[in-house]
Amino acid sequence: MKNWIHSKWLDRMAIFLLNRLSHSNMNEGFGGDVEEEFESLLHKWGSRRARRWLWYHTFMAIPKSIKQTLMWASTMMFSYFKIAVRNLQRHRSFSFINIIGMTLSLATTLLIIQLLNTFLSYDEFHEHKDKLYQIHTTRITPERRYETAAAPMPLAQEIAAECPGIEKIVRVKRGLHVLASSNDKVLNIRFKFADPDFFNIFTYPLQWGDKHTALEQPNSIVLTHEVAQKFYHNENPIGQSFHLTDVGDFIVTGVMEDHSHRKSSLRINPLISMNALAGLERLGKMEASISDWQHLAYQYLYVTLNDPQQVEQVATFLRSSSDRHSREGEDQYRFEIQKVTELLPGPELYYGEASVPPIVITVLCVVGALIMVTAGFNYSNLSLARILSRAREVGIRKVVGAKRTQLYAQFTSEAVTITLISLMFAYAIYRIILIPLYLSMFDEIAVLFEFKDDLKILLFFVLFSLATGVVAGFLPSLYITKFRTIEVLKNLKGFKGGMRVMLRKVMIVAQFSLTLVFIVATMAAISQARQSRKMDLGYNIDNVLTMHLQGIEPSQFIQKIEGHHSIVEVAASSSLPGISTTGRTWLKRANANDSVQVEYLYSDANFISTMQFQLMAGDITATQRVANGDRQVYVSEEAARRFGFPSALDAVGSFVQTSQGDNLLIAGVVKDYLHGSVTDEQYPSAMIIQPDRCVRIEVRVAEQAEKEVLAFLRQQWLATESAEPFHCPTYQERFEESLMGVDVIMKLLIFVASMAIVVCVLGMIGIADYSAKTRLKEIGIRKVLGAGEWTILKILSGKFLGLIFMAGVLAAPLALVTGRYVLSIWTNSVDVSWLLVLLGFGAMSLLGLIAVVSQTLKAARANPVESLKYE
Amino acid sequence: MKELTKLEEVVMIAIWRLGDMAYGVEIKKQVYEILGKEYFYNTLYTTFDQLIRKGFINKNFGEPSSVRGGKRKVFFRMTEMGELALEEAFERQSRVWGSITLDGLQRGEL
Repeated sequence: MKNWIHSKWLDRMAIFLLNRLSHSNMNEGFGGDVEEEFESLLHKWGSRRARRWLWYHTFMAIPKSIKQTLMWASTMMFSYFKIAVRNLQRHRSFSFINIIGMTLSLATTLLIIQLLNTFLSYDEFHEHKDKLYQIHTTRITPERRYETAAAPMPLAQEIAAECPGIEKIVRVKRGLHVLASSNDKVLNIRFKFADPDFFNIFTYPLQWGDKHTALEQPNSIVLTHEVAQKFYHNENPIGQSFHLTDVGDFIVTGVMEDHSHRKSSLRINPLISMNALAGLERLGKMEASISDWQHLAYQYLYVTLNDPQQVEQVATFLRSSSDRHSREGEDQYRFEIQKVTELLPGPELYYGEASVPPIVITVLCVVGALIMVTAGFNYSNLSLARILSRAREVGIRKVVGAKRTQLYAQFTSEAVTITLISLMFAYAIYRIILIPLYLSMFDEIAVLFEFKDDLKILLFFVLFSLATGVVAGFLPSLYITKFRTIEVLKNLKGFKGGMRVMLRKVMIVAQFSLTLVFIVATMAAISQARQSRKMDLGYNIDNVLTMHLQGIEPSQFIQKIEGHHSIVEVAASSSLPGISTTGRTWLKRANANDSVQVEYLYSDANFISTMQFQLMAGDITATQRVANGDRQVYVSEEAARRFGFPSALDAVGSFVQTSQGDNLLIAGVVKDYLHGSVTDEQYPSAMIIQPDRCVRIEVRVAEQAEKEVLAFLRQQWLATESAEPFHCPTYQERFEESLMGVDVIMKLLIFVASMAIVVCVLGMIGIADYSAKTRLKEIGIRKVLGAGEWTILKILSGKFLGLIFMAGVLAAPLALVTGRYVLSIWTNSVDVSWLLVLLGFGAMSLLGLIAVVSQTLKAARANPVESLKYE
Repeated sequence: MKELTKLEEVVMIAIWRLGDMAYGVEIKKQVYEILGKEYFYNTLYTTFDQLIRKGFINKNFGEPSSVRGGKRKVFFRMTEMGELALEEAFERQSRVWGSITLDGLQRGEL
């Protein structure tokens, strides 16, 4: 019995479905007919066969129904589109403002989408990406943790022998940078070592050569496309001999295809078989690392798993392995397994090759979303402001029989039409203006980005703008369809009373607030950019040339160049302050308990005077010899204070101790200076006088003598035995270069924020224009009665002033928070002060006033006859 | 005047034959008798809609009965325009086939 009811219910459902699918407007007749026949079939055939008949009919109705739905939908879409275009033509200034605003924001967003796409597509091209993993090591010293991208070489053997679930293991090691010669050409090339399975786990197709055997022999070498081009042009180089200076002879066994368009976290250089490494290490050509568990620098371990599910097992194995190889009292090592496709975007790791900080992704997303929200908001805002003048249209449509959903569709389709038209313009702007502009702004790093349109991204553009249109159109349509028909038609002027005025006021305040937020964010970004450029470094980098000596003893080279009449002074150091630090260490005052963490570099005795550090106390040149091999050190004021010296003078002549127990004599205290990179956290700093640790020189040249000295240095450099090309940038150049990462994001931010401001101002113009238009008759009457332009301007703009002020008060805290968030990317960010917000408010008021006055002036100047002649 | 499609023609004939009794189930049976093929209701109802739009038939509702789950029948009736259309369809058919007979066709003679 129960069963019977149940199936009866199912029958009803089938009939109901069939009815829905029929698209007939005679539902009752249709359903009744089906039911009648079904009943008779039940008697004739029995329930099973009759039901089968019913369901067969239901299923067979589906394809036809789909066809019909699509047909009707497209017909409706087309007519909606037609209506939308007509409406847009009728309200030209509105459409114009919206299209420009949408175009600007869409173009910017397209750029952002493209950037995001590039950032997120790292390592996605590998065929085995689902089972490709890298093994990372965290080195834990008593002072700190070092998250590295590297792994010790012997771990590979251990994994191969003992770890379950591993399919292949590949070690990759960099660190060979030599002069290579072949085919009568000589070039300076960086090489990597890789295991023979390299091409079986990574997808780098070979142009020539066999990917399975190319790295098998110890003397085999696989070239990249670019390198092969340089040596052999387009000829097949397989079997050619390749001589590496000081290393030996190799045979070319393969050439990779051009992979420059592929984004990889592993930078691809010409590859030498890993089988060669052992021999090179024995000969002392490479530092020993193959069986060293402590050696991590620039060597990577990749594995593929038989089954990605087994990653947990491997992780467990690695944990136990870390425990086995960590000893009490030494640095601890932790091995972790990381999916290669998930490495980027990710934090910067020690010994890593590429990094895309996740904050960049977040900032790009937030900024892209913001600018799109602005444009959508603009649209909604302007539509809502105008909504009352369209109330009559809606009323008539409703009387004629439009359903609410149809009205939604109509208003949404207007917004979608606007976005689609904008998309066309935006795409043109994006291709013709934005990309070249972008590439010229950031030419050095532009190679990182590819601006190749694929179908996927184009489709995404279209879908994205469609979605924007739908969202932007939804709000006004939601509101407009609520109108009660009779009221709207009875009182053709629309609504009287508070509602209307309130709505518009809220809109205007919102628009001004948004502008303020963007202005403050831009100003914050600009002041940050200025700060990192104009900041007082604490030393003088003008007229200084810098040169890495590539292994030549600095004192030797300095001897050769000293005495040139245009060279003022020469010094040697281990790194350049303001660009990077040599390292961090713990120092403590002799006999004190607490150590202070400092950043340090090594330099020779001339460094302080050459770089013109501002000396607070002590001698400018560290001439005095210190007994029993102790070294001298210059510390920053901050460091002296942290060591616990009451003043700089007290510090001079005192000793500080390194964690190894060496004593350093403080020869002087310098004013605080920028030691590490601008973007890094700043520590107290120290310069240890130890010439044998120096690797580079700084040459202070006389004014205007840079060219002359460069030529001289080149000549001297070529006379050395070094095979490296001559490279001697100015300090200023190196500094600018180091700021580039900061600059890129900063410029992008400023660019996007200015776009947003333009869009906001457009919105303000739109609103001012509209509210002036609604009062045309009033203005006409006032003018007839004798009001002057100035009076009218005052009346019309007066209200806006109040609203601008209100927006300022409401949005200022928001602007402050946004500005701080934007700058939180930089460790040494400037503070967003209330003064900045106040300035932003001034700028916003000015822009707002210009927008308002320009529009009201138009209305005030109009001939009153025009607006009143129909009354 | 608008022409009739093949199925419309058959449906019209069915309605004509059924007279006062022309509603979905019966029409479906008639069409099955004429063509020997079962049509789906949604196909037939699309045709009804089409014919009503062309003005060849009109519809009116019958009394609700318990047999059909309480739903009323929709009866179709030929309009004058529909009769004219059917006549024209017949004439056109005769003109097309003329004096050709099946016998003649099979033997390949006129």
